[in-house]
Amino acid sequence: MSKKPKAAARELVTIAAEILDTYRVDTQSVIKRGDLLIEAKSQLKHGQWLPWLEENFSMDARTAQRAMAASKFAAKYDTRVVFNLTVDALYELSGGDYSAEFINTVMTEAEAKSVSAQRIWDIECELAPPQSDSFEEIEAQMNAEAEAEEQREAEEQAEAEKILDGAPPDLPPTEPPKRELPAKLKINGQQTATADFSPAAQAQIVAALAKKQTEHVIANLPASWDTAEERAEKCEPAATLQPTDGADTSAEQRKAEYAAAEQTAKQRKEHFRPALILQAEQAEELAGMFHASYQECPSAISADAIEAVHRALEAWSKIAQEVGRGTDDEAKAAA
Amino acid sequence: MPFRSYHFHRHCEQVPVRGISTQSVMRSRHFAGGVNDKRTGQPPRYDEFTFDQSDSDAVAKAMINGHWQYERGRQWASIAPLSMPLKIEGKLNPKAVALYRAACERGLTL
Repeated sequence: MSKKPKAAARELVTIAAEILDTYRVDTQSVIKRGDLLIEAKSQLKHGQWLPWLEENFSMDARTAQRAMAASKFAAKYDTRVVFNLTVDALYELSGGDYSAEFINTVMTEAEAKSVSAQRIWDIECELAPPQSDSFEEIEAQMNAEAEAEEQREAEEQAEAEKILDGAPPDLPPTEPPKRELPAKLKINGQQTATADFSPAAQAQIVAALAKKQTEHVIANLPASWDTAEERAEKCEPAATLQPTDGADTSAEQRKAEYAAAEQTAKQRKEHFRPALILQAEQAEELAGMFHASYQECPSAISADAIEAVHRALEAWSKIAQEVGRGTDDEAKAAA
Repeated sequence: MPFRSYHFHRHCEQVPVRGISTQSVMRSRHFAGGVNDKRTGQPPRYDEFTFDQSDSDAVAKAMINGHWQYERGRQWASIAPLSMPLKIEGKLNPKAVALYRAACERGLTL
């Protein structure tokens, strides 16, 4: 029985280099994860983030925060150098309250070799000023620090008092507040709304009302109308059906369906007739108001509003013809 | 005694209040917004802090607090020199905080 030949042993240097590569892959993964989390968070609204995280991220929220902080930190420095930091070092630098000078020191070392969190703490100890061991010296040092803090606060207080005693800052004049129209206009409240605004604002309100009315008419009533007509068209016309002899039950059934659909369409048209007449009357009134406002203040009416009113009048004239009122010449002239 | 959330009646009751530090006020984005608006001559944006009676208590409270911070920011900006930044490298300027405290003590700000 032959033994499987043993693979040639690799050099330790090669193995060490590969281990180093695994650190880089880990760091790269964390940064990538942080980038993705930042991207996802930017698309979510307030209150949606934690539920989304719970559903889509297997680790806890704190880890997600650390990954995002690491990603933001890595964006500020050279990628090649950042990849020389181990994951714990990256978390430590991005989450710790380190000065820019200290971070630069660590990054300078990371240019040459891999840096772990332990090494960061060692560097911090190396750079820290020597501390005395005796209790009196520590107490004196703390007192000195407290005095310096009090002195600084007193200076800031004095400076603040000086500012308050002096002249106020030379601020630019505040612009008058813009009177914006309310976002939601009510059709029934148009009289109240127009009574409170200037002619230009009134014109804008009427234009907005016309647009809203148009959307309502186009979106609802013709759709209901078409539904009834389409239902009738789906059935085979009665003229094409063969005379029934009692045996062809399907033809009888189709004929009955057609008659029922035709009746429904007729009923629906009758049902919508008063509503359509009311719409057409409102169209007349609204077009008159729009015309008056346009005469008074043409610059306040936007091209969109004019187009909206045109569309409204087209729709309304079509409806008026359908219900037998004829076209509304006055409304067309106003537009 | 376990903590129970207090649902106040917005129509007839005072909103429950609690004390907060000067730093919390000045760190608010609405405060910074008020400072920026005042320094650039923008008109007040009080309408952005309105809420509906149908909104939840949390939304109403956030809007009310935001409104106060915005107004405080505008007031602070009207007394602070233009050369005094609110924040330095993302952290509150200690001199700005001291000025706000001094102004509060004099009753110049809310």
